[in-house]
Amino acid sequence: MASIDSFLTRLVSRRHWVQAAFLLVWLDPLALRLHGVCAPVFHCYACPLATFACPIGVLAQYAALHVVPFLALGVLITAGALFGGFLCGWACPFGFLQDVLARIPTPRFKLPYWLNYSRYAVLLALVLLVPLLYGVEHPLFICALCPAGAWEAVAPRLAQQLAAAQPVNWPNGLKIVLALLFLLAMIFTYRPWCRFCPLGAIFGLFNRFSALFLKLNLRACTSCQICAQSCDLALRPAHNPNDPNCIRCLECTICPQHALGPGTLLDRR
Amino acid sequence: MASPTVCPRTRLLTLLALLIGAALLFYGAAAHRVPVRKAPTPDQTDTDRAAAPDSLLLLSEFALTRDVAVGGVIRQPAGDLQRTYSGSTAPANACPT
Repeated sequence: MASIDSFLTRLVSRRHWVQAAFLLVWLDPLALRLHGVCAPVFHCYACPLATFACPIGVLAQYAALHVVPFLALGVLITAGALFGGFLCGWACPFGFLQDVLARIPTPRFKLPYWLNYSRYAVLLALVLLVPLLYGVEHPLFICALCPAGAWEAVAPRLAQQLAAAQPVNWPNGLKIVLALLFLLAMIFTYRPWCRFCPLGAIFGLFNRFSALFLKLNLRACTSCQICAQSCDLALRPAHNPNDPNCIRCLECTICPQHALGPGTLLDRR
Repeated sequence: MASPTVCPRTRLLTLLALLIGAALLFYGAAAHRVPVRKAPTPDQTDTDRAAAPDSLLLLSEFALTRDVAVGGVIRQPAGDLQRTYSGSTAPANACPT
């Protein structure tokens, strides 16, 4: 499958165009409002332009109802098994927003690797346990805190209400604070939300065995660390090319020895 | 570029995950139904509502997901699910959070 590898490698420099193109899918250009189905990306279903439902919102709401969301789980497992972290780096609209803000020329700080473990805590606690045990009214229910929901849904709806001189429904204070904190973080660090994203936690687990992955040729690798220096998430691709925190941006394929590149399940022995 | 190989066990894991995902998709789309009570009318008592033959809906996951996205279904303390809107009232147009 050298053709898929070379295709993806050529696309690396145009990744933002691919992300922008996916917006045409997520932002409901045909006003279909297919909210009975969830998309495998982090996009709030209360966004006025959302085509699909948010899988994390669906998992959390179903946990509150004590019902197993077979369809949502099927979407997540199938998409994860096919693409793993590629969905984070190439398709996710909230990831795209973070990438756009990362282009603002400001001093940029790298976050410590251990912070990535937070997303498993968010997934277990805020997405599953809080709604399961306390319901959707709990202040720590994920949708009540989610910054993606704040910027994609709350902000445009507030604007609509203000413009129409209607009564304004303000979100809770913690949601506003988190939204502003993450917005600030997006300007000074790379993809801060991805360290806490419960959807990224799920897809990252598939990085080790997804059909599309990052392959490392140990014979070609000279341990020059150029791949680690090019990684904005402070990962070490030459040490672990299928790190669960990797969003598959493929910036590390800048490797001068061509030791790193996209691979597929069909790569032969 | 010389191509490192894909371990057969990894291939198996991938295919197994795809199979599980496909099975969940099929079951969720085609077979899974969730019982949800209609919202009570103002003059209906709990006994009337429980006894009414058409008070229970069997919603597909598509319909239930659409409803939860707008806060249209809640879980009662007794454990049964109930719609928050009836035929005479419209659901919210967005998630209440």
